[in-house]
Amino acid sequence: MSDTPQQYVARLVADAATGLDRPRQEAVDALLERIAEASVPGRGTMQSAPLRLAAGLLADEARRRDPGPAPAPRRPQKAPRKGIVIHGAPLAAAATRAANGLPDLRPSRPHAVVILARPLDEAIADVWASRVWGLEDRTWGGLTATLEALDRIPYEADVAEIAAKWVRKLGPEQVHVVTRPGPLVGVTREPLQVVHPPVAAPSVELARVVSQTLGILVDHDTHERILHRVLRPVLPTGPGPGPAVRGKLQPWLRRHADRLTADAAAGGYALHGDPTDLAPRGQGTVRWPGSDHQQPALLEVAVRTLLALCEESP
Amino acid sequence: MNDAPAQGPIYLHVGTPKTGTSYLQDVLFGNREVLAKQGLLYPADRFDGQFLAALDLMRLPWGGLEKEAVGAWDALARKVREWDGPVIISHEILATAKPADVKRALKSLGHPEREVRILASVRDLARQIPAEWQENVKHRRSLRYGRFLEQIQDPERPGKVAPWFWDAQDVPAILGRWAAEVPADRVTLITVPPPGAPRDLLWERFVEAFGLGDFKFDLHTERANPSMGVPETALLRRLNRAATKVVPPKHYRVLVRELLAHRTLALRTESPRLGVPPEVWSWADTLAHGWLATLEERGYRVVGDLTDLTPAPAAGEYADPDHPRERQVANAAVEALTALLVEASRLREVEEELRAELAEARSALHKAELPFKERTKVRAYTYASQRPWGRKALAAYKRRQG
Repeated sequence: MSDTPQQYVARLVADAATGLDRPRQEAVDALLERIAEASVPGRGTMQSAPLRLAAGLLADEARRRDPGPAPAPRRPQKAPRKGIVIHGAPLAAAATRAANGLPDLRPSRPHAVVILARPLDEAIADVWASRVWGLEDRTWGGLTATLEALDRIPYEADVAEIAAKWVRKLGPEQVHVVTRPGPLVGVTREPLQVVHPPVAAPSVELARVVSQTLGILVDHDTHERILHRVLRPVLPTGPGPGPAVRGKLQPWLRRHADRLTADAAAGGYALHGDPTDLAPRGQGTVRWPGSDHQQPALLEVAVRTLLALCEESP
Repeated sequence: MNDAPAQGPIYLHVGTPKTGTSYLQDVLFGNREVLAKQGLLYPADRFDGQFLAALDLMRLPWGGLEKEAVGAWDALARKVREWDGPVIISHEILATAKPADVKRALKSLGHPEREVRILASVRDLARQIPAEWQENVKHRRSLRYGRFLEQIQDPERPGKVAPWFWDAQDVPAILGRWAAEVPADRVTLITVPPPGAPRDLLWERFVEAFGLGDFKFDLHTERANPSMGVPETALLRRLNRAATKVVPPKHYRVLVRELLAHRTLALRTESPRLGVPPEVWSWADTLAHGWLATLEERGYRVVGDLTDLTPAPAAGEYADPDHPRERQVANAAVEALTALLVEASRLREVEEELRAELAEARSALHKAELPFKERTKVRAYTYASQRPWGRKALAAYKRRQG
């Protein structure tokens, strides 16, 4: 690469911005000036320098658009007394609650628990993404390596353990494990729409890298607010290449998937779907989301997101 | 300091790592109040205050520590601008600052209206190379030494380690960035004396370079920064391969870097020392001569001797940390395990004490929550059971109750 990181990123932004209308073009011109003056934060390979520069810029741009703290509510939000608990893969659980207008706070006396299961590799990817959005700086490779070394899976992906806990609390009739997205009948009055949002490795990895810089620039609460209210809405959320568990860790993954499948089949609670749905699907393709090979994909997402921010609020 | 300007100069010491910087910073931090009374500011509220400021300036993640660095550079710069006397800012990771970081740093300090002097302490590459590899190992890396040597010699600078190495060690490039807008007579190189030089010589050079001769302070520091030898570093590298996946960074810092590396393994001074193989020595020597020519041409002030940058001939046979003597590694491992057992025993005792305190606190809480009648009964029972007549009475009562 003969260009400096600044020149390279500027070229990508200029190319992607071709054809924008005038007010947006002025915002892009101002962005290009900032790119020229920007420093490459953090440390990494030479190949990752343009991405680190772009991520640093995204952190700055997002920070400029910080809406500030929301006014404190007059009364603190109270958890509902009755209702259902949605548990399991955290992104799926949050998306399902949102799709059905359910509150985030767990009811204090739930009458039923719905535990969302995904194929184990996708469930772990769901957990990884959720932790990145929770401000944790964990790479996909690091998370899976640690889990394998400890011979564990994340609690939120362990539907059998979650189900067993709720069976002890509420009894088996009140516990429902759901293995597939789509409408779920028989638990609530209206069918419950179960959502499995896709986990695209480039978007999550970019969020992680931007979050690294944001974590140095602002305090925890501001970091959380900027990440969720400024950056997340403009990051591409559609289907994309998912993270893949690399070959060396497959025996660990299979062992836990087999255990989950057997435990779910014998759990005694309502199982909506098939226990074999918990087996890894192996559809992820990105073993190392932050590697040099992934830089072009990450940069593409970064540039699109920078331009989306410019379009939203020049 | 005689003939000081209205606002004293800022001595901005930007590296390089492994050149006695920790000792200098410890002395300055330990004496900061005494020095401030004498007119010299070393702006730091904690021993790593300037390190955090550097992390903030360069937006450098550092195993979670960066979260404590939010706003640290601007806070430091504010203190500097408000101080009329001379100021010293020193941290070796500033060597890796990019041009935009340098520009921001200098502007925030009041440059060019305020005089800024750039200082860099430098040592020959044949000593810097193994020292930097060891630092990598102490920071959780498990890169073999041979691979490290390949990567730093590769002009493409592959991987993550080589770019950082050269950002921190390429003296002409570092000064090219920091001194781009500073006149050469305000740039000082402090050379680390060659092996075998008098112990105090480096400190004397720091005193001369920073103009500390007129200041009174205490040179004693608690922290030593000893190096590990070949078998110890090999052991730590192997440990990293197994442990870094399962030991979080905050525990690694305390248990591995501090307890094992600094307080146990580095005390084994009889083991073979890290060096470079002959072919790397030759390459480093050629590079150093090129640097010498460049630095001489630029006309920087030198405290010491630029020829100190050329590597001294190797003392003794090269010991390869990728193929160490296994008996030596085993002996180091026994000492490391012993240190960990001692620490684990200490932590178990602490845990027992805490459990006892917790039980006491729970009991007190339970008693406090009891109604008055119950509390009285419990007090009476406790009182009686601690006396012979009381124990007899309680026994008789229990017999009557069946």
